[in-house]
Amino acid sequence: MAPGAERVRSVDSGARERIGARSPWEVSVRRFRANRLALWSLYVLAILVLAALLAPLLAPHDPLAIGDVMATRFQPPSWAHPFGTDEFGRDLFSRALYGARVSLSVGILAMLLATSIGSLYGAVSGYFGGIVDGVMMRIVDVWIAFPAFYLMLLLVGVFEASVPVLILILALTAWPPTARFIRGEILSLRERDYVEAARAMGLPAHRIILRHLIPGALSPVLVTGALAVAGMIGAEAGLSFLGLGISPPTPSWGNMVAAGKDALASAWWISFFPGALLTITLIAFSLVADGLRDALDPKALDQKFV
Amino acid sequence: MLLSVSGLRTRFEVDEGELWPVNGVSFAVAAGETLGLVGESGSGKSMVALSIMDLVPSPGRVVAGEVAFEGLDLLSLGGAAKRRMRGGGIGMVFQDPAVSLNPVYRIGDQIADVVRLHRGLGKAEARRETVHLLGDLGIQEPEKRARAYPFELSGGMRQRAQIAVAVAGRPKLLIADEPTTALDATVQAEICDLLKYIQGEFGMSILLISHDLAMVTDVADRIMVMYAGRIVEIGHWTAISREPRHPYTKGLMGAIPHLGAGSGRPLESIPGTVPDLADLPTGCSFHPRCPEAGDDCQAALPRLEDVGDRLCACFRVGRSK
Repeated sequence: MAPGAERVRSVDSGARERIGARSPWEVSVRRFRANRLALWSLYVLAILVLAALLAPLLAPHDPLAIGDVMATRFQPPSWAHPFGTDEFGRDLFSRALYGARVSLSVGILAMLLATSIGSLYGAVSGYFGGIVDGVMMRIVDVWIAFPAFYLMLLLVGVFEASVPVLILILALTAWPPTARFIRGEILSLRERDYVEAARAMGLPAHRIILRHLIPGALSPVLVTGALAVAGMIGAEAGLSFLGLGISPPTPSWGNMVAAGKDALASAWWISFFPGALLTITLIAFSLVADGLRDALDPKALDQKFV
Repeated sequence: MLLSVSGLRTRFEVDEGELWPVNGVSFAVAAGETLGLVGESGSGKSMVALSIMDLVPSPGRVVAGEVAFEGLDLLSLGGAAKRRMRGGGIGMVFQDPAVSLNPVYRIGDQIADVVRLHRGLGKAEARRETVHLLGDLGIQEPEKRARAYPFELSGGMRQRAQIAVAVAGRPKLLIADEPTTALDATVQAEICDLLKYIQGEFGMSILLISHDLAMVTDVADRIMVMYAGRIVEIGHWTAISREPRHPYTKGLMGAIPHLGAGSGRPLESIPGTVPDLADLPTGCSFHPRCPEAGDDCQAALPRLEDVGDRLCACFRVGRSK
């Protein structure tokens, strides 16, 4: 037993537990929950994701089934068809549920892929600095200088658009800003004493980057990630609207809006419901991102929650 | 000698010109010895530690000298060998454990990481070793503390945990850079005791860096005093504390408050401030602040010379009879 241990016991033993100090994580959760708008947005998103996951159970009709077209087409919203029916008499509520699967999975998976690529790239660039950083960031500059939407149009023109291809294309166009952003975070993080301490302990570069640098940048990444999902869903909807994304009859919110655009005056519901779902989803992701930013910002430490 | 440093010079190239925070430093640390390195802020003592570890931040660079550790030239080691040396050969304790432990990882994981890296133990073994080490370093309920995050521990506990990280790779030399500066006075004494304990129990050599001469005198076998990038006096702690000979060391000794007998005397201070490294005085860097300085001190730089029971760099200090 080392000397001095006895003296310390009274101070150390459970002192913090008695005071009830909260971990930064607990403080953040509390702050997020106090933000009504963000909390409700999160609930809305949870319901949407759940609905998408359970689409086969929830959908009252087959989203692709075309029955007696003349009898069932262009029906306004009713109890039998909450969102109405389209020109082929398909149930739009069922199609919206299945469309949610496509739109949400494309948005979320593309964000995860873009964020992973961007984080690793940015972290490597920022950690090594010097020439490595210079070359890697110039590549990012060139990539960003290329208008993202044109790049997407080009890529979907070349490759057959399917869900995995779309995810890949969206991620490929979206990672450079994340990389640049993460690099900035890493530049300040790598000056932290615990990073220097890790180097002094002989940890290899990849361990320092993966264990000490990227986790430190995680909270801003979470915020930009939530915003990026909104961007991705919007981009997918845009491409699908233009007929370059998910092609009918597979429903996505974007091609559903497009399908109704010619009948807007006579059958408003065809475009309205998927459009409204898109709007709600995008706003919800933005509000969640806002809430996350406030909740995770250590500088905005509000005594009320500590 | 376990560690021998000779002619070490570290240069920073900045807008104001070239700075030399380490300007021709030579010393050695024997196995099992504690060497204290003392100086004011800005004297270059931390930069000596970082130079040894080859962790000098940009735009600084070690430009001359040799650092031999167990016969290996540390400054010319390649990547993998250098990483084995850091943490495995030489461990380092930093000033403020609140910032040098990663806030998002459990204490135990940070220690186990180093244990696994340098001693090649498996996960479970490293875990056991970690808890054992924490207990050995005087942490109560080590099982529980290993699962704690740094913010859940008190300052003293955190410093113990950081020392555990530094010694987890069983290094032969521990460099402790101001290990007590960020701590309360009562906890400082505990950390000093802990350093002595580690040295005895693990047979480690320690390079203890501090601005606190009293603390260093308490812990170290030999004391080395640094001023403006150079060593001005080095000798056994009894010699230095009983009779400091370099005017700067005298000044530092005079600035230590005493309790009990002799506490009536006024506390002395060294006039002036540490010189700007970009604009060093000619000759002896200390002469503008030195009560004993003469013209010769401005003209030439005194060399570190053997004056009997120690080495001293001052024209006023002759070989003792």
